[in-house]
Amino acid sequence: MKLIKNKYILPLIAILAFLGFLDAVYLTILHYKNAFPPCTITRGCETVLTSKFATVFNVPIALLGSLFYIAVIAVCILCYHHSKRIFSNAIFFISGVGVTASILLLYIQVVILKNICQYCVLSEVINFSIFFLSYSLFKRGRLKENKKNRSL
Amino acid sequence: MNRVMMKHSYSIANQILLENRRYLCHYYKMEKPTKKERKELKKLEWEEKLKKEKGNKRLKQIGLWAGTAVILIASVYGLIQLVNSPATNTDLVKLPPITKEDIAAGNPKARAVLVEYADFQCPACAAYQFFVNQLLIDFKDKIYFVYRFFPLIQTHKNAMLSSQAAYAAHLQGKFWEMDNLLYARQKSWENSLDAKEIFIDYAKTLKLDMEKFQADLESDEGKKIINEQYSQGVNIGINSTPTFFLNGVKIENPRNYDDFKKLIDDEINKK
Repeated sequence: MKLIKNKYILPLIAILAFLGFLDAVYLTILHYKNAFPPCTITRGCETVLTSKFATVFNVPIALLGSLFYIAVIAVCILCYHHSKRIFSNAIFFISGVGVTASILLLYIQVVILKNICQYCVLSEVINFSIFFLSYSLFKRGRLKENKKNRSL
Repeated sequence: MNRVMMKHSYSIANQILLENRRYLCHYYKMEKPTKKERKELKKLEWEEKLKKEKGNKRLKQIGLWAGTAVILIASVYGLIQLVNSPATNTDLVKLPPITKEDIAAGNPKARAVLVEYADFQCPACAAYQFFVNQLLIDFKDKIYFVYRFFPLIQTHKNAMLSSQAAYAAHLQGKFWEMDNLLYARQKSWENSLDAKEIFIDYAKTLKLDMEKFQADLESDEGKKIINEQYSQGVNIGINSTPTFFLNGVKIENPRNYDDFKKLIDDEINKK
């Protein structure tokens, strides 16, 4: 049984990516302002966001996250217009990269830094959700293709 | 280009002809257009419809891309405004009261009480230290300045050690001299692996009791006080350095000395 109808998957992914974009841009702005956000749910936002793991070659991870979400939104629009399989595969591939990075960052927070940043967790939850939705899109695309091949 | 135009005008002319034929047939109750003609007319109509649809689709595509770009840019702008807005948590939480243990300069009974949370390794703090020194000269006994430690140890590797050095100097009554040295020579020690030796040299320059200085530098007491002030700062929502409070209210960091001076002037004249 399908939990979500096919036509809702793409808009859902785009909305989630937009939320992730807002979160990542907020953290990027704060990074360049040499500031950190208030930690209301968890403890240790400043520890996580000012740690050496918060940047890769001096580029803040939050900025990379913003670009990642822009890429997801762009591929969603392409997929919506052209409904070609290559684009749904691209979303799945990009979200796979995102979810791998999320697992790594979650590990760093829990095991190495022993501090959790709520803004990072929000981004990780969004990445996991996008990944599962894009997997469902990818799987349905394959099923459709198989059916088409069989009918031929 | 010409071929396209010719094709286009041919299709229009053809359509007009067929339409006319249909009209005339209807008007003079002549025989209906032939099957071939009807087919051609249908084809033309279909082609026209397809063209219209294609145009609409392209317009829709451009609209969606443009709309998305506008939304993304607007949200970035909105977030920048939000981050820069003066309404932050620090306005709502009370600043820890000033005690005798606080490191301070100026007149304790002054009308303007300025509290700064700062980190010796922060370049912006070094810039503001120049302003603060000038304020203390210009306002003399009309201002009371309190320094509180807020070392950003996660990004500044010598932030804690420099704070400890300043605290050790404070125990010998030379905090401000050490403060001046630390900020003035920030570039020479910020990335040094031998920062401790550099701070010991500063202490020698200030003619401090070296045995006491070294013992205080390594003692846990200084570290404890610094960490307490840092935690208090985090609790009241401080998230960057330097953060200033004027008479208990967090202020936006003034852009230049004149703005800073005006802010203090206004506060003094307010009462």
